Amino acid sequence: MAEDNINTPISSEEYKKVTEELYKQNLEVVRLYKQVEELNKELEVANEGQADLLHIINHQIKGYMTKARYVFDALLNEPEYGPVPDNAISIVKEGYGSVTEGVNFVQDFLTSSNIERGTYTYQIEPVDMKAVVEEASRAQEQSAKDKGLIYELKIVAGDYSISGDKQQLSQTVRNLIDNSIKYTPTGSLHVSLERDGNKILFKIKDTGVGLSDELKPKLFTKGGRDKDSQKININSTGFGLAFVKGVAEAHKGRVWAESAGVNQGSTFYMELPVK
Amino acid sequence: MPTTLEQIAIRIIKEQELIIGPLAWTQATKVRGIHITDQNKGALTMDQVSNTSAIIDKLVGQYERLFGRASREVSKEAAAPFLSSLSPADIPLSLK
Repeated sequence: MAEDNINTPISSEEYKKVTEELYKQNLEVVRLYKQVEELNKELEVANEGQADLLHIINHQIKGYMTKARYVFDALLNEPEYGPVPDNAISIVKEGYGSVTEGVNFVQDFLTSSNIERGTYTYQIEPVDMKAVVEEASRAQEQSAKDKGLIYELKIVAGDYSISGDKQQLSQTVRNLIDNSIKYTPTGSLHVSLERDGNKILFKIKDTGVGLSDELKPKLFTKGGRDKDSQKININSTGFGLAFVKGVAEAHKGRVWAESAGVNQGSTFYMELPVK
Repeated sequence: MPTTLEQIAIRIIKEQELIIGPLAWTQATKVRGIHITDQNKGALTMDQVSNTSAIIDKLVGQYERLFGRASREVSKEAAAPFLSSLSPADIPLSLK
């Protein structure tokens, strides 16, 4: 009985057959791997081409919009065109405001794209983050209040001087506040700035739509918006937070967000080193 | 600067390495006339004898003996880009 269980010796022919089969299997895997590699290369080229095209289109659009803004500006402010009729003033002002928003929107997209490509040159200078946050907060507070939200800004006393690109840091603060306003249908926003040793922590706690587990890992990536985000914010591009991450990291800082889940509110953090 | 035949040998070994791993280099060391000088850099020398192309035949044969006909096709594909720089008489028989 025990002898039945003893395997018969494997002949050299069998070994050879098995070895050859294994070789063929491995060869197939290598061929497939090479195909995947080729496809990846093609995909990279296609993606790069698409990004370049988008960049060019946006440059063009920005040019047209800037020109349109000059036209509205001239109609409103240049005496040589005469006074704007009273019944047209509001529509001309609306046109000017809308085109200005458009120019800023495209500019943000282009800057974000340049930051991601590593082709953006930061203008480093001494920056007072307290002043940056106060200024951005003043501009955004009204939007929050217009929406019926409670808006609170708390800056802990301290020195908030850092070296950085003031314009881009201002934009990151505006983007973060704007993001919370847009995704908070009701409730409140608590914005704060505090110093923790050699770090500055900017924080926004909102009572908004919160973050799903699916969204969290892609939140700060380009195009990383939630599948339903455009139902809440029709202008959502998914670039605003990617821009914030790019700027924060360029300043050797970091950004992150916390949320207990959907409809549980969110807290966004941006930490920047003082030196 | 490696000769064309040395480049062919390196290319064949590297291609076999993709499939069977470091064993490809172990098997190459068993081929008389091939001297691996630096496996990490993928460098070797070959004895410069009257019929150097026969050393390539031995290398191709070494893999074929162990892994069968499929390995010969792999060696041929690996060497193909170099063959145009050799005269027909110098092309190893195993790669024709």
